[in-house]
Order: sequence, then structure tokens, then C-alpha cells
Amino acid sequence: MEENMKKTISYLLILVMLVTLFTGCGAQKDPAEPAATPGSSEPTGDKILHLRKTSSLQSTDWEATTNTTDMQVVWVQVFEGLYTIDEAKGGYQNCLAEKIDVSEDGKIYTVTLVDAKFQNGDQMKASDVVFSYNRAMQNSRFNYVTSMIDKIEAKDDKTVVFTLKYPYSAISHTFWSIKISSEREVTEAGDSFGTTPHTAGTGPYYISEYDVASGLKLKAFEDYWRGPANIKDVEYRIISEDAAAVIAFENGELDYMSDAPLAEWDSLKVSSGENNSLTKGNNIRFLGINYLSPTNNNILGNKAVREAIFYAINRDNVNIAATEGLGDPAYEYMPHEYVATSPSYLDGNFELYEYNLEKAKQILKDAGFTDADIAAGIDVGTLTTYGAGTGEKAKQAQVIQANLAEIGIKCEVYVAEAAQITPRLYSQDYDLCIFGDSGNYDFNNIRQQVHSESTGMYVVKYADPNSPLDYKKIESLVDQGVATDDVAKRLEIYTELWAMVMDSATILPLVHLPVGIVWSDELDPGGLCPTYYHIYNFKWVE
Amino acid sequence: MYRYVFKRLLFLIPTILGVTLIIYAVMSITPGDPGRSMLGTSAPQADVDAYNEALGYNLPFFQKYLNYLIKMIFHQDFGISYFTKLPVFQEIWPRFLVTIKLAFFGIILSTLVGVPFGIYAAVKQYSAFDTITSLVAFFMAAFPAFVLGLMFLYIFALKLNLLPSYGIATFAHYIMPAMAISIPPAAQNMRFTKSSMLEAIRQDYVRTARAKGAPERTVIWKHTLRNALLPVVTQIGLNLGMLIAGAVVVERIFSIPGIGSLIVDRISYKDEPVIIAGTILISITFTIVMLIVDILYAYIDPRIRAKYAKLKG
Amino acid sequence: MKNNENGSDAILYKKENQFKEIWRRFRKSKGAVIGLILFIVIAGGLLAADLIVPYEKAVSQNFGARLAPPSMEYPFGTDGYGRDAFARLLHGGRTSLSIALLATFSSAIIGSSLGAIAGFFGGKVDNLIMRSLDIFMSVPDILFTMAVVYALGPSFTNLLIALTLAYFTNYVRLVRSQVLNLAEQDYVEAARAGGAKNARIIISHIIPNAIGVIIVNTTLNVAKIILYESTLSFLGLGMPPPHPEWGLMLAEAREFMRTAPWLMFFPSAAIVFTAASINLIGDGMRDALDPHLKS
Repeated sequence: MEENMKKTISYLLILVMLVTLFTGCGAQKDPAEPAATPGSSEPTGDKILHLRKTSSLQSTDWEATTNTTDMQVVWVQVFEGLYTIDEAKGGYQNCLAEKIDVSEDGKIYTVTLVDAKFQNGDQMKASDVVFSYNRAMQNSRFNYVTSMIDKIEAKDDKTVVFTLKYPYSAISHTFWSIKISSEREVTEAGDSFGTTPHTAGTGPYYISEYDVASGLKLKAFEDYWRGPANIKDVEYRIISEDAAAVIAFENGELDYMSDAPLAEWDSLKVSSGENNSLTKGNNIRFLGINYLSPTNNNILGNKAVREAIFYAINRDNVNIAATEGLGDPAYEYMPHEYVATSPSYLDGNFELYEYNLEKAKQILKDAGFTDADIAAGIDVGTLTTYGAGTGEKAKQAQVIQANLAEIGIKCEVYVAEAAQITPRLYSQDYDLCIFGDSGNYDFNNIRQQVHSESTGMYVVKYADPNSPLDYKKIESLVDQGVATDDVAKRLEIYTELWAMVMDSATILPLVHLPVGIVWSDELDPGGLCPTYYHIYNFKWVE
Repeated sequence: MYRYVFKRLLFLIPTILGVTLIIYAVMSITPGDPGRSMLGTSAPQADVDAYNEALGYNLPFFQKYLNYLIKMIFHQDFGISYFTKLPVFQEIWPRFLVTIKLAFFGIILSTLVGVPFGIYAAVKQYSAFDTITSLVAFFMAAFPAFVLGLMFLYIFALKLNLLPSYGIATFAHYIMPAMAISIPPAAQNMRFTKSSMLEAIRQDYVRTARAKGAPERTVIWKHTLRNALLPVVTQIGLNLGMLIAGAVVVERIFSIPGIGSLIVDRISYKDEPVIIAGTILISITFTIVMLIVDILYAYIDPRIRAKYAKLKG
Repeated sequence: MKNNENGSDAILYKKENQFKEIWRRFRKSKGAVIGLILFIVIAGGLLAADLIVPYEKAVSQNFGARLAPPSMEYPFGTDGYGRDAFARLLHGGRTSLSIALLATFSSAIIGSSLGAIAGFFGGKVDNLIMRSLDIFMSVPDILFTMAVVYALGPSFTNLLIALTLAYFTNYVRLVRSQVLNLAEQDYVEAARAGGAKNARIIISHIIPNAIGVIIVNTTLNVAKIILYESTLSFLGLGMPPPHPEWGLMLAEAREFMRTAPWLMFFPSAAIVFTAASINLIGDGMRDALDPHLKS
């Protein structure tokens, strides 16, 4: 037997040696040389700020980044627009635009620029602004924020004149969305712009290392127009698994985590001590009903059925399921705390459909549904939504399904990937659906949902002879809303609009998603900004 | 022998052609398109179509398939990712190496652990060692890799704070994922080796050898082991499938930038160039490993060796 | 074991005796018997799920009692909606097991037929089938199933299709080599000489003898498919909610790993025990059908 063991052991040793050899080779061989910026400075020796990303950065070109975690880096730290967004300070704020003068007819915006440099050293000129806007206008992704622009001209190096086709007071969203990039550098890079680190932005940080597989590093831009940032080095760690991210934070490997996983919020609260904050995000979920759906003899065309559905929904449970109760039940299109022109549910100007089972049942009875009908179950088809099968929308769908069952309405739940579902939603191929909207601080964003010319989120087809509301009036209200920039007037217009939408019982706000933020003891994050954090405001605690 | 190897390597070509065809076919019935995911929900359909048109996405899939083959074979150009606009090869190669490393650890671990245990259990059948290890193996073989991965993450990274929870910076980072993916195949190897050994032990020639008075260890080593290991070698190759499936999942859990997680992530963006190139790479690896396994098999089995010697390799 | 190969009556007689013999050998292995008992208990529990606890409890939500730890009222605790985890486990097992069984059987039938055709007809047909199979098999099965489920959308049927496609390849090679072995046997030659048609030869001679191997592999594959399906659920491509199902339960429990670990434990244990018991049965069958002891 000893010989047996000896042979086995020698086999093992050989293999172990091979393994070590292999790993030794592997350790020296770097997967790919991370591309460094020309002229990037030597390691500063300062403390590095460690942040988390769930996946690697898609592109360093702000026009090409499509998901929020990428935008949080590229849209805020690296690039800047004429406006910036800061919920803590009330929404849109001046950034590269020092001041903006609007003409009497609301069609001409004269922008005076601040004195800023690009990360490559060039001075920012009006021509760069014109270049950036023209470039964005060629990209149909930004169509919905640029379609109202007629022309842009550089009057001189520090002045840009925007001429709009019609008055559009929601232009602030455009000024935030379109970032200013260095015309010289972008044109020189040509098609490869976005695939490597660059110095074409004006923001407080530039990308110093960008390795698709593992790394993203930022360095502070010393000549930033507001003065260099406190924190000089930033490193993003790619952690795809939420549980691992929480572990990393609790082990001190992450200094700041935005969008903390809500299921672990209790544990995070404990481990972060006082350094946590839970805010209402500008991310909302809606239930949409397709009143044109042919299912069960167009039962959803019956307004009573739709109202009953709305009254049967227990938003508290939806909130608990989707956000562990950390979010807020929603009654508004946008949080009125963040958007001054958004009608507030506290004013009592529109139908809220607060949870009321008895009322729901009564409505059905009054509409003629017998006890037998209810016992058998009124079939309204399928509740469709997208995202992961274990994601928040899927959870909301399951709660709603159970809610409806309590008043005798039955539906199936169907969840699949966004790519498969969203085209169906926009072509009204659904019965009930759950969808989301976010990121915009101007009530005009509702245009995407209610205006028939919109190519955005037109989930409920209001422009139809059988429409449950006067869609021409709605569309005219939308247009009126942007024709003026008087906040009080806009609020009045939008209140009327929203009341009409709610009355038609087609869209129901469900829940506002929260944003959980935690940070370490060594960091002082300055004012907290739920969606787009500004590393510029961070500093190390002394 | 060499002719056999050469023929098998030649078969790589139809394999690549076939794999590409299969993936293109499946992609053609998958919903979504790069235009819509890049331009967002509010872009007009006309622009989305134009974007797709420019990418060559709307062509009938057979034509896309041929174009791709031509570019790949004659220009060694794997195209540009629809998602990041980076050259595909640059994106997948480093990640491919990472997954290979992980799979390699998996194979080594599962073989080193499974086979010796299996041999010993067979030799000492019905002993306490045998019963315990067989029982353990049964259960270990029934664990999905991701459950093991999550358990390890919980125990070693969270509770004990022994091992890192994400990334591939050091050797230690590979320990948990490698364990997670190699335990089920290790258990399988153990059971399979044991039964293979048992079968070999029962053979007539073993009885003859024993009857002739040969010492026990010669009986085991010279006669049984070689024959028993033959099917085990094949089994190890087959386990590669299990390892790769496990790798895809644990890459997610441990945030390992491997090719499995890359392909999985890009499917929802319909990033066809990356998906196809990645799948081709994995398929080639698969085929080569199976080839090595078959060669090893032929080498160990004197009957087959003789056959090929006769055929003038 | 006496071989009596004159005429089909003898074959039938051999079959009956064989069953008894197989069963006797099966019983000898302790592991196999334990596996069988365990499996019967599990399957029985799942079939009788309605009697043990009504389906209602598996889907009715109770937010007052969500994420409750195991207790008298909720033996396995409650999930994120306050649904009884025990009820979900029982009713969900039915779905899990039925998908696994259906997928196994369909892949067995398709794969075995292909293998039988390849082995029996040989030549070009064989070559074509086997080469195509090699190409098909070099695509890693997980990526292929993912792509298929992603393309078709998550549902019971689509999952079934994807799983069948992933596993039928196991059978082709196996059955083919069995057929190749058997086709060379004398009695097949004799049957041919006697004028029997190909189909009849396949059906009455080849399949009955290959079936042993098919059965063993089928039992082992059921376990593999259960595990595989739970992995797909983990990746978000398994059964759609809200119907309970083990893989889905695991996927849903993942975010509560720290706050309610029992939610992961029980479905995992269910999967492991079921898969393990099936493996035990499969091993027992393999031993019982051992060809070495047959002749």
C-alpha cells in the first residue's frame, strides 16, 4: 500500500508543480495592458477613492453610454453640460453656462460661457459648444431633447446663441443632457473616440485607465475651472454580485456606495453607523392598462374594471416587495419635492386611487358583475413587465396579481427581457403592464407618455377614437406647458393634464424607488445627490 | 497516430463553420436589436432601422453568416462590438484567458481530488473510508455550482473574512470559484473512477494474476489501474462541459471578468460579434480538449495504439 | 445464465426472468434501495402536495409575516411576500420534477432514435449524424440553452425545448455504440437471413437490449437536468414567476442570503436530496443491469 501511496503522492507533486508554474506565468502575464492617457501623471501617493460599478464601462464617449452606472461616471465626473443636476440643491443648476438670457418670445437663448479648460489643456470656446450640440443632434438617441433646436451659433468665443423652432421651457433638460467636448480632440480621434481614455471633457476628473475587463481609474484634472478636486485618485471596482459588494464595503474595500442593495440595507445601516442616507430617487414605476386590448371582449375598455383594478392595488405591499419598504408609494408623475412644476398629491386636484378593497368590489358590482362572475374570476389577460424574473418589476407584478385576485380579477404574469418586452409595450401588444420612468426633472417629460407624436414611452395609446380622454386637449396642454416658463402657470397647466390622465384610469403611479447611499468613516461626501453623485464634492475626513 | 491527430484538427474547420451557423441562427430569432439598445427608447424607429442597416444587422442571417466567415478567415477580422465599438478580439481574448485559467484549476482540482479517492475507495471497498467518501460524493455531486459559490462567498468572505469576494487580482481570488466549479465534477470523478476500478478488478485477468501469486500492489497498479483509468480520462473530458457551465455562473457571483459572463451580459444587447466570437473560442477549446483526451485515451489503451500502429500513423 | 435464443418466445421468456433477476440485484445494493425509498418519499410527497397543504398557501401573500424564520406555523419560514415556503416547496417540486422528467424522456427518445438510426444504417447516414453531433456538442450547452430560452422567452414549453436540445446528445453516442455492438451479433444476422425487415429488427432485437443503458442514463440525466434547470433559474432564464419552482425559489432567495438564509437552504436541500436519490437509483440500475453478469 505504501508504494501505492508513494506513486499517488508523486503524481500529485508533479501536478502541483505544474499548477504553480502555470499560475506563476499567469501572474506575470497581464491580461491586457491598460491604456494610459498620454501625459498622465505619476501616482500621487494620495489615498485612492474606491467606488463600485456593477459592470465594466461601456464607452468613454458620453453619447454612447446607455446605462445609469456608466452615466454616473461619464456624464458627471468627466464631462459637463451647460447645466448640471443636483437634487440636493433643487434640480438643474448652472454649470458651464454662466448665465442664460431668454428672448421675449422664448425662442432665443443667449448663453454666456464660463472660463473653462478641457482636460487636454485647450480653452473651451463657443465653437466647441456648437460642435458638441451638432454632433449630438446627429444622434437620434438625443432626438427628444434636440428636436426643438433650429440652429446654434457661436457669436464670439464666449457666447452661444440657440434659436428654437418654438418656445420650449423644458430646455433645461437639454442643457443638462448635452455635454461639451473638445472639438479638436473628438475630430482627431474620429471613430475610435470612446474606446480609449481621453481628455476631451471639462469635468473635474479624466479617465486615466480604462481596461474593459477589469479597471476604470480616474485622476483629478488639476486645471478644472472650479479649482482642482480634493480627491485625486479614483478607482472603480467591478463587482457584479450585490452580496459581494456589501461584503466589500463592510470590509472597508469600498469608500462610497450609491444604489446600495436594498435587501441588505439593515445590515448596511449597522455597518455604516451614521454614514448612510436613504432618499427618494427620481425613479418611478407605473401600472399601465391597455384599454384597447381585445382580451376577453375588450374587458379593459370598461372604465369600471380599470378603476376597480386601481383601487384594489395595495401600494404599501408593492412598496415592500419592490424596495423592502424603503421606497415610497407614488401618486404623482414626478416627486413634487424635486420638480416644482409637478402636481402634488397633497393638493387634492386629481384622483389618487388610494387602496380601497371595498370600493373596488362595489365598483364591480355597480358595473353589473355578479357574484358568480367574481367567483369564477374575471379574466383580464396578462400582466407584462420586463427585467429579471427576480427583479423589482417582477415582484410588483406578483403583488398586483395577488391584489387583483382578492376582488375576483385574475391575470397571468409574464416577465422577460427588456429587449423582448418594450417593443410590445410601445405597440400596445399587452393587457396590463408595469413600466418605469426616471431621470428627468421637468414635468414635460410626460410628453413621452401622452403625446401621439412622441416616439418615447407611448405605452397607452391615447390618440384613438375610443380614447377614454380628450387626447387632442392633452396634447395641446403639453404644448402649452413648454410654451411658457412661468412656474405657476406651468403647474396649473400640468395639474389639468394630470387630472385628465388620472381620471381616464389608464396609468397608475405605483412606487418611487429609493436610493440608498452608504459611505465610510474616512469620507465626507458633501451634500448628497441621489442619482448623480459628484466626486468633486467629496473629501477625506481629517 | 499523427494522421489521426491531423484529421481531428482538420475537423476544427467544419466545427467553426457549424458553430457560427448555429449561433447566427439562434440570434436571428432572438428579440431586440443593437439599434434600439444603443439609441434608447425614444429614438424614432426610422433611425433605429438606419442604425441597424449601417451595422449590417438587417441582412438575412445567412448572408451575415457568410460575410462574417469571409472577414474572419481572410482578414482575421472578428469585427467590432455593437456595444462598446471596441475590436472584438481585444475584448474577448483577455477574458478568455481568465476563464481558461479558472477552468484549468477546475480540471486539476477535480481530477486530483476525485480520482485518487475513487481508486482508494474501490480498493478498500466497503470500508469506512469507502462508505464515507461515497456518501459525501453523492451529495457533493448533487450541488449546483452556484449554490456552492454562494455558500463559499457567505462563509469564507463574509463570516470568516479569509478570502476576497470579487475580482482576480491574486491567486487567492481564484480559490473559491475554482472550488465551487470543481466540487461537483470531483465527486463525479470519484464515483466514476471507483466503479471503473471495481469493474476492472473483477476482470478475469486480475483473478488470473492473483492466482498466479502476484503481489497485491502489482495487481492493482499494473493490471487494473490502466484499464480503469481509460473511461475516467474520457469522463474528465466530458466534465469540461460541466466546468464551463459552472464557470459561467460563478463568474457572475465572484465578479470574475471571464468570457462566460461577457457572453451572458452581451446577449441582452444582441452584441452578435462578441457572442459569436466568444462562442467560437470556447468551442475550439472544447474540441481541442476532447482531442487531447482522445489522444490520451489512445495512448493509454494498448489495443488502440496497436490499431493505429498497424494502420501506419 | 442460460441463453435460449431460438425464436421470439424464448426472448419473451428471457425478458420476464430478466426483470426478476434485475430486481434481485438491485435490491442487493443498499445505496440503491435507500435512493429508491428516498425518491418514493419525495415524489409521493410532491404528488400528494394538495393533500398536505393547499395550493392556496403557496401563492397567497401575507406581508405581515414576510421573511419569517421556520416555526410551527411556517415549518420552512416565509418568503419575501409572506408566502409559506413549505407549501411552495411541495407544489414547486411538482413543476421542477415534471420538467426534469419530461425533458429527460423527450431527450432520451430523440437522442436514442438518432443514435439507433446512425448505428443501424451506418455509412453516410452515420457519418453525417455523428459529425453534425460533434459540431453541435462543441457549443457549450449552457450558452446554447441560454440563447434559446432568451430567444423564445421563459415558459414551461420553451424551457422544455431548451433542456431537450441540451441533453439529447448524451444518448446518441451511447445508443449508437450499443447498436453497433448488437448489430454484429449472430442472432441479428440470423433474423436478417430469415427475412425480417429492418424496422422489426430494430424494434424487437436491438432496442430491448439497448434499453438497459438508456434507462441508466435516463435516471442519471434526470438529476443533471434538475440541477441544470436551477442554474438557468439562477441566471434568470428558468420558469417565470409566480408559479413556485425550486430553481426560481433559489433565485428569489438569493438577495435574502444574509437576512433569511433558510430560504436558500430548503430548496437547495430539496434539489440535492432529489438529485442524490435519483443518482443512487441510477447507480443501482447500472449495477443491476451489469452485462458482465448477464451472460
